[in-house]
Amino acid sequence: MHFQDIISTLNRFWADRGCLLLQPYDTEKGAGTMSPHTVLRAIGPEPWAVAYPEPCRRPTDGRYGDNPNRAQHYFQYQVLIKPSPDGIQETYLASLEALGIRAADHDIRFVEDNWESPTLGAWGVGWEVWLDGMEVTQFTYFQQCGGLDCRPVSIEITYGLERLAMYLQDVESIWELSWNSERTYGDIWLPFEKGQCTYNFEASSAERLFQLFALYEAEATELVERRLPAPALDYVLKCSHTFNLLEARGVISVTERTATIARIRHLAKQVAEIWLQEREALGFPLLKPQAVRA
Amino acid sequence: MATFLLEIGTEELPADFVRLALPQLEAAVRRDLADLRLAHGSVRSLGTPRRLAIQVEQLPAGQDDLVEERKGPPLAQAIVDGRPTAAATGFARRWGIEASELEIRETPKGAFVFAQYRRIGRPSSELLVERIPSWITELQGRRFMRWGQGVMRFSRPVRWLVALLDTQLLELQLEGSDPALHSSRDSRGHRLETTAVPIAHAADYVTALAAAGVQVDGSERARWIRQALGKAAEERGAHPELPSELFDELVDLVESPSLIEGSLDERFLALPPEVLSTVMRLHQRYVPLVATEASWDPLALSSEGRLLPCFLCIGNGLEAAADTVRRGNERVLKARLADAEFFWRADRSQRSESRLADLDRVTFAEGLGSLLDRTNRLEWLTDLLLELLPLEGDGAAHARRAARLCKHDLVSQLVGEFPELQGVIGAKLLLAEGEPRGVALAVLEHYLPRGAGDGLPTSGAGAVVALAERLEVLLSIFAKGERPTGSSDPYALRRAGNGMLQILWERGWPLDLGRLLSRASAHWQSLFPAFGVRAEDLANDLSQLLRQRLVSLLEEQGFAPDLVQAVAGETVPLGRLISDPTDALGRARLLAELRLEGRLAAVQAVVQRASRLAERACLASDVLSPEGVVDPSLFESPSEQGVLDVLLGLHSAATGAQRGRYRQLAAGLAEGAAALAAFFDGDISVMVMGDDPAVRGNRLNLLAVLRNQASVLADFSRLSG
Repeated sequence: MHFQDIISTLNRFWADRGCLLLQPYDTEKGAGTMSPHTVLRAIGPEPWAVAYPEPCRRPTDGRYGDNPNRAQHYFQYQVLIKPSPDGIQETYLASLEALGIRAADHDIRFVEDNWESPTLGAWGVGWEVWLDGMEVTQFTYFQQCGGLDCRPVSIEITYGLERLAMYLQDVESIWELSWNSERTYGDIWLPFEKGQCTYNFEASSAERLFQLFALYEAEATELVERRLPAPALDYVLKCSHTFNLLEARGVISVTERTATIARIRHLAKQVAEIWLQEREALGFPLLKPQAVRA
Repeated sequence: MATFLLEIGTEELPADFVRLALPQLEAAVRRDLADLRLAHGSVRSLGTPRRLAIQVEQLPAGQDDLVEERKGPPLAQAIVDGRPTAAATGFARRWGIEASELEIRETPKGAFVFAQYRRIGRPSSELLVERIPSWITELQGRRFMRWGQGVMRFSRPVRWLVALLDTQLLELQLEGSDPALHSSRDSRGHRLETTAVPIAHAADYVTALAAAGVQVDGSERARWIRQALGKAAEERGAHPELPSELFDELVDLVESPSLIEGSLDERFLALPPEVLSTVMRLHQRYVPLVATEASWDPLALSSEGRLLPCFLCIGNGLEAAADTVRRGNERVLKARLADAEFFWRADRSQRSESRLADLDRVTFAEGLGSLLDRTNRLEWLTDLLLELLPLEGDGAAHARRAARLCKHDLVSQLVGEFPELQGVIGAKLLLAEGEPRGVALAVLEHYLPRGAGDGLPTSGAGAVVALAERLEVLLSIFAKGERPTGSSDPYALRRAGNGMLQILWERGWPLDLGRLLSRASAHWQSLFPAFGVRAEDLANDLSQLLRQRLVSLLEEQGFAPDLVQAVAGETVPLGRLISDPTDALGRARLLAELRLEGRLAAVQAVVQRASRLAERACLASDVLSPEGVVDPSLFESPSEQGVLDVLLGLHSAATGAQRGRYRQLAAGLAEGAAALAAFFDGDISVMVMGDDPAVRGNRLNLLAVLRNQASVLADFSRLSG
């Protein structure tokens, strides 16, 4: 199954179960969770069910395309359903079956893995899903987001698309994955990977990144004060990504790291609060019965 | 007699929760059955990642009736003129009987009325239904969660509930779960079984689940797994590398264990064995195989000859798919090892010494500079230690070189990937570059002990650098003004203190920590003027910490708390303890030995008797000789000379430094019992508190010197009986 077909299969699968199909959000982020479709929608009482692919950037994971298993830019497929429905594990297993991975033919296991995002003030409880020993999915019941208790609880399912694809296509390098019948993953992404790594590790200016961080932080702070959660989140995400770029340069010390993460978390919590207030002021408009089949 | 079954069906539980929850569940069930007066046969707790269950045999159908009796008012107040009074009728009503049913009985305090009433026993089924919910909600574990719209908290979502008494369904509902959860007789089998598994009879549970592909008995899975791993290893002339944490986890990670035997490309044996083991055990929960004949070299660069190019893995059933599962697992391992190989090659292509520059870019802690600054301070301390603890042969040179290079691997790619291998990787990279084994070993060992129960450095150079490493963090963090608190010790300073003492004890090094700390503190004061710390305060605070660590380590070693206080407690001068921390251990051992042999009490009696009066003497506690403070010309009785002879006999043991002096001191004190008895009681005894101040002072000084001499061994006043 080609990479693009995996995405369209998952789209079809989750759409059939009542999920909204959305597109990637246009700000750099370290994980699909950071998209407002997850991080904001997991907050508050309104039901929500969404599925989307999301590119992720983790500058420190870059290896100039030399490593077959690592890249600083890759894709997640993200599902978020609130409230978490009964039988969601079985639904997830059915989604693997849609990709051609039958439970009877593989050792699929849910192994404890609790997720925490210090920058988002979020944590949850769940598993990593092992497919014959390979972690292919992160499965999390959100307990807190932006420092707020999640009531009801959302279930987040994050598929590692490259890992699944490598398994399905039986190839040993990300770069050899077929995107469609003509082009490989490497054809498309390798030039970007090399260039981005050079930027992340060599060409970026730590001084300017620190300046950018300060500017983004100021912007986010002001937007929080003006009670504009949507653009405030954008700038929190920019802070987070800039911080990751600084880390890739190795200029963030252990203690500075903790302190900076705390600053971003402080902002993320405020964004969560003003988002919840905004929804409340609107009377939680999505709070009407909605059927999600699990 | 009936069998009771409760099964709590869940989404996959963390492996350690199954292990921790089952004993809690069993204890709660036993407690409540006793409380409910329900006798029973065996109680069996069963569990897998998807269920916790308990099976109780031979439960009665219900409670026996209970006849109870209550004492009422005295007869005189209960029945007046042959008629029950208001007090009597009220009492009878309270216990649900008629006043006419009250019985009159004589007691030592006179006649009273008594009420006897019968509590009708209730059916077991009813009682169980009432108690089951609390058995579930009482369970404790870490990181509990909510799910859906529910308010219930549990380790993972509860999805079904089976509650049976023989064939009878115990109907109950679990509050707060989303969706609402009602008990039924439908269990679920292995994930591959798509239909429910009805349990017809509570006693059928284990067999019904076995038919549905689930071995519910954890001890059976454990037995199977241990045997399968052992057999597979033996067939290959190897033994499984299977620490208990891994084994326990494997047992509760599957519902139906199966053995998968995978292999890996022999080229990966070129990697250090710790790398292979870490990937296999910690990341993948595979069991590595160690060749039976293999010797253990902590500095081995490759796994050749030690590890076999294969691994064992416990799968979750699925024998039919065994081949796919094996290939899948081999693939994952290959990818992970290829990563490790990539890092190992990259790290080896750079000289370790050149990584020191990178250390300068990593901050150690705010105000304390970079990891390179820390390394420089650590080298300074190593030099100082080597002045006080001369090492033989190349030891000193190896220690100095190791101190310089001990942190280089913190910026290596492999340690970035496997932080738990710090030190190990650093040592091997150095050895591969041609550094002497002694240097590499010291780098590896300078992290030891990592915690309680861990091994200690085997080389002198390793021990010195390990001491320097711990001293550095203690001095730096204390200089900054931070102290460990009850709940928070982010730099593991207590562990650092413990480590220093353990190393000194094991080496038997008589290191004067007081001298060391005073010189080092002065240096730290000059290094960090901004902290405004005074050298004396820094040295003193660290000495206090080390005393606390000494006390707590002695207690951890099993010495009785009063004995630990006697050798190292607050009343023992700090300077003395710190000047030689192994000395306190030696004294603790001697006292423990004397106590075990029943010889401590005699010594204790002598010293305590002398000490009580000695408090009235005006003699400093450090006077250890009677010379000049006891005047024989003032003696009025031979018993005084007798005590003086004891003191003169003890003098060399109390002041000397010879081996065995404490044993001598203890023996001398015990022998002094007779002289002291003559002094206090009997024909030639004296009145210590006599009228003549000079004679009195002289006698008090005799006792004070004895007390002082004894305190060289221990503060006997801290010993309990």
